[in-house]
Amino acid sequence: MRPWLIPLAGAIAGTASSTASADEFGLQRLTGLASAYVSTNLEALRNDFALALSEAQQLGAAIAAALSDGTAVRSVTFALILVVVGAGLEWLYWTFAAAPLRAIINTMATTPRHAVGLALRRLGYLGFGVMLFTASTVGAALILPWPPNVDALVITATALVVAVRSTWIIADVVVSPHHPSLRLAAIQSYRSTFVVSGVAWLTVLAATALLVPQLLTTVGSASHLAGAVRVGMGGLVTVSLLAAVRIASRREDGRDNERRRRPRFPKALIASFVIVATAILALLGGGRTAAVLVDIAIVAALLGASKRIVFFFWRDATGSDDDKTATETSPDMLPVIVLAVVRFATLVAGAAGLILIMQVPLAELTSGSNPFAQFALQVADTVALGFVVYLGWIAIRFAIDRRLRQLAPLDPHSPATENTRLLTLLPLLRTTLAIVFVTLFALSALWTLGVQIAPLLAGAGIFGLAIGFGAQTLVRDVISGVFFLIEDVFRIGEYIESGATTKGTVEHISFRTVALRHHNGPLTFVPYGLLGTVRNDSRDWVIDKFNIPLPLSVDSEKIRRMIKGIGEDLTLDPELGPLIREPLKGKLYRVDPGVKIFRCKFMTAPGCQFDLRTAALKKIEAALAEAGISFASAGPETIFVRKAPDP
Amino acid sequence: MLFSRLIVRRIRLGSGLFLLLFVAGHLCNLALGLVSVDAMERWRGALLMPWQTSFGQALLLAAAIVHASLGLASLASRHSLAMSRTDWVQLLLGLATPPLLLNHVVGLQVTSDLVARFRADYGYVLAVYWRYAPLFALQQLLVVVVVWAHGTIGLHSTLVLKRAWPRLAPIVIPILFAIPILALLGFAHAGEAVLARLATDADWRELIEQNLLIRQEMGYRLGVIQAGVFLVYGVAVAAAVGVLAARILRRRRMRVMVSYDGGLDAVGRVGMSVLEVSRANGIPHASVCGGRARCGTCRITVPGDADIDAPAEAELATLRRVQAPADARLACQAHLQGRPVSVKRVYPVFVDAEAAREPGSWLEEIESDLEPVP
Repeated sequence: MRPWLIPLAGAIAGTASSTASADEFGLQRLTGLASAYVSTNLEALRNDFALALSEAQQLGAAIAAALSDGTAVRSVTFALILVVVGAGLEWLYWTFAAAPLRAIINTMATTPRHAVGLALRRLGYLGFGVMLFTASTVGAALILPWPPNVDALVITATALVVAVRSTWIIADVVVSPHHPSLRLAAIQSYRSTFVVSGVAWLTVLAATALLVPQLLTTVGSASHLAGAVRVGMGGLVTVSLLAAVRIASRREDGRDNERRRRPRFPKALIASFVIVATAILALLGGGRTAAVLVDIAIVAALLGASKRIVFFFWRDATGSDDDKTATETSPDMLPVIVLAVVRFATLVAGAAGLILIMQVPLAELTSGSNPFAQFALQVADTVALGFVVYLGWIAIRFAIDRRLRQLAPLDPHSPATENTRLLTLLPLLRTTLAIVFVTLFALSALWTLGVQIAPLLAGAGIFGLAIGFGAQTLVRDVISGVFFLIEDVFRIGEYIESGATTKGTVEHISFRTVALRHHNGPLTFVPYGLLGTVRNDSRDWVIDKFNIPLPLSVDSEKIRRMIKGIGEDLTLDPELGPLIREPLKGKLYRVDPGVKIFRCKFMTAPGCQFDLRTAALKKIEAALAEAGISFASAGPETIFVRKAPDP
Repeated sequence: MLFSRLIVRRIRLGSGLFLLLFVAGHLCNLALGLVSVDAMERWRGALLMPWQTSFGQALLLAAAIVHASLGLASLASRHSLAMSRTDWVQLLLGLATPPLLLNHVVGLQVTSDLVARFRADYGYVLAVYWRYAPLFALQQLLVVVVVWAHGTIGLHSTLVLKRAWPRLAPIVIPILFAIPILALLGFAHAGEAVLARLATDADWRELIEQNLLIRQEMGYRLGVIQAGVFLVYGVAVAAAVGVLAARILRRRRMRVMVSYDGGLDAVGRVGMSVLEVSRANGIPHASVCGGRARCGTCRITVPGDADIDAPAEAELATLRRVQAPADARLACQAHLQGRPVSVKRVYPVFVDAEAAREPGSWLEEIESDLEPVP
């Protein structure tokens, strides 16, 4: 055995060592590449900072020159014209628009959706102001003869102002610092102004970090200064973001101190980590990686918060925030669909962002013959299809559930209403549709993925035939069940009898069986195929008959009238009266030796005959007692003894 | 108080209008730069001469001093800094004007008053601004916009309350826009011409530089004058702000509760007007004129025994004009005196200047469905 083992061990060791060395080599090459890349970037950064000062001095000299040759004065003159035109026109607009805007702001939003409508209108008024400002500024700027290079400066300045103002407006409309009823986000009042100013500040920083370096590079030809400014502004953005996360989490903690805190997902920590990692990546030159990280982080954050965000707009319909049970048990249909759409849209937007960041040549991929790309596209198709199917399923399920909730609570033993047929069929329909949806989706998905489904379908046909032969009873059960339901033979809650022993209230209907609750308790599952003749005791009406034996001495006519009177009394009873179809009547039915038998009869709704009979008997007994009549009893029996013949 | 508030208000408005008229003439003259520098010079006599006589100068100076001091006085007599956005803009623009403008006035008018051979024509001024002292040019450009904006906002807030405003607006507003734009364009156009002439016309350059020499010789005296004016102005501003700050600080603990219709409550200080309390507490309150007792839209009704100072003449005039009932007050003039006050706003918050122009029509419309504003 040993000689056989040694070469094996050697082989294993050899492969292991060779793979290890390959790994080492690859890793080394990778780290080497990365470190070379990083060190180049760091070198560039150092250069930027080293040369920034001299470039700034050059820029200062250029500005001084521009001042003395009239360029600067001219530019400022024109810029002030822009201010007069843009700000003046907007001011004019606000002298008209301020009043309707105030009217909107002072409306109390009744529901969160109403608040959305009001927010859109506010956004319209505010946005039109900004648009007017932008359009008039840009229009005036296009007319004026700017000195060379200044136009870029003006465009940048305008873009900066417009970006900051737009974000500010949106933040203000969403957060509505002084009007909690108009707020579109779950932000506490004491924090709202902080949120708005924070967003505005971050926009200022981000817009500066984006626009100013570009301007410095193109107009000032100071690319190193631009790099330094970019790094500086990026650092400021990072610090501000970290501060925002810190403040947000600290205030939250402060508020929660009164209650015992549950351990939670460390959101603040993760967010800080992502921010720092992004900043470091961007600094080291992995701008694309940083963007990917940001994209993924934003998508994850949105997905995590999506339920809270969406349900916020239906918080009146789904119960308040504290009332978790209401949200869990009976959510409305629309928020769930919106939530699904929002999540899907977030994912799609995130994927689109990734595609943009990675600069994937989409057009090439779709037209090309790269099998991997084709497959990815097919998968994307399938996901989209799945999403549509899911939406359809949610819509149908909620429609059915809501209808069921409207109809009645599904209690098989409650008295029958006119909706029992729907109550019987809707759950069955729900299950059927689920199966149909899943099957269709599976087939479509396979088809989209390029799998030929025709043979599959044919195969399924043959397979089904085989099963059909093998399981005839099953097929018989299902088909007879379909016909039982179509012919409306029984519904949930009805008392049916089939044969001598099978009887009970229908409690549950499935594809193959019906569950009958016997009045003694046991639940019988009867396959439809074995049901045969069904006697439904719960349809339309029942007639109940019972006998009353009375002594021969009673006056039959008097008794008949008495029973009729009792029947009329019963129809006036507030509880039992409405159930009676034909009132209680009685008549002499038979005369037996020593006893007159009166037969009573009434017609009532199914299932009520027992209560009604009890009530009738009670009344009859009372009436008889009052009239001094007792029921016929066995009594003294007259025995005729034949006299013995005289001897 | 020496004068009633009504007279003070009229003087302030009148002096402001007078100054605006001067600025308009000055800017129109500047706009002629679109034609040529000569045209500017030719029209200077017609457009600016009335102001350059000694009487005109005295009147202008008086108007400027009166307007500025009344502005500062009204700042000093405030009880809080709860102002509308427009008022803030007006205050800041107004405060910025004298320091920005002083240089221009002293450098040209005072110098030409003091030195007879100093020729402050447009050619010289433009040459200085475009070639020799471009930073002053930037300052002057800024002051054009600042002064014009201040004047326009003031004029608009007065005119918008007049019944004739809807008919006047289509004429006045384009003029208000055209004047500064044309002036700036004229300044730019003329500046180009002057720069071209400086490059070619050596004699003229000589002349300009002589003028500049005079200006430089005068430098010390002008500096002293400027510093003096700055000092006075600075002291005045500091005094006004100090008085305001002292009042706010002194009364910061003298809290007064004000309850509004619709179940809103607010806290103010003794001396604050009800409108200021609304603003400071973020309670919606209609106010078209911004708290000058002009428009009547901040009207409130108060119980007869409310602890509020008695209405002054200006308020009574406005209340008469809008035919207000006896228990009405203007929120901007009803100052708290110490005990809690309960008020009811009359106009909905979203009324605009139309409500001030036609007080009756608005009230009839809203009286029926006057809802408590949240």
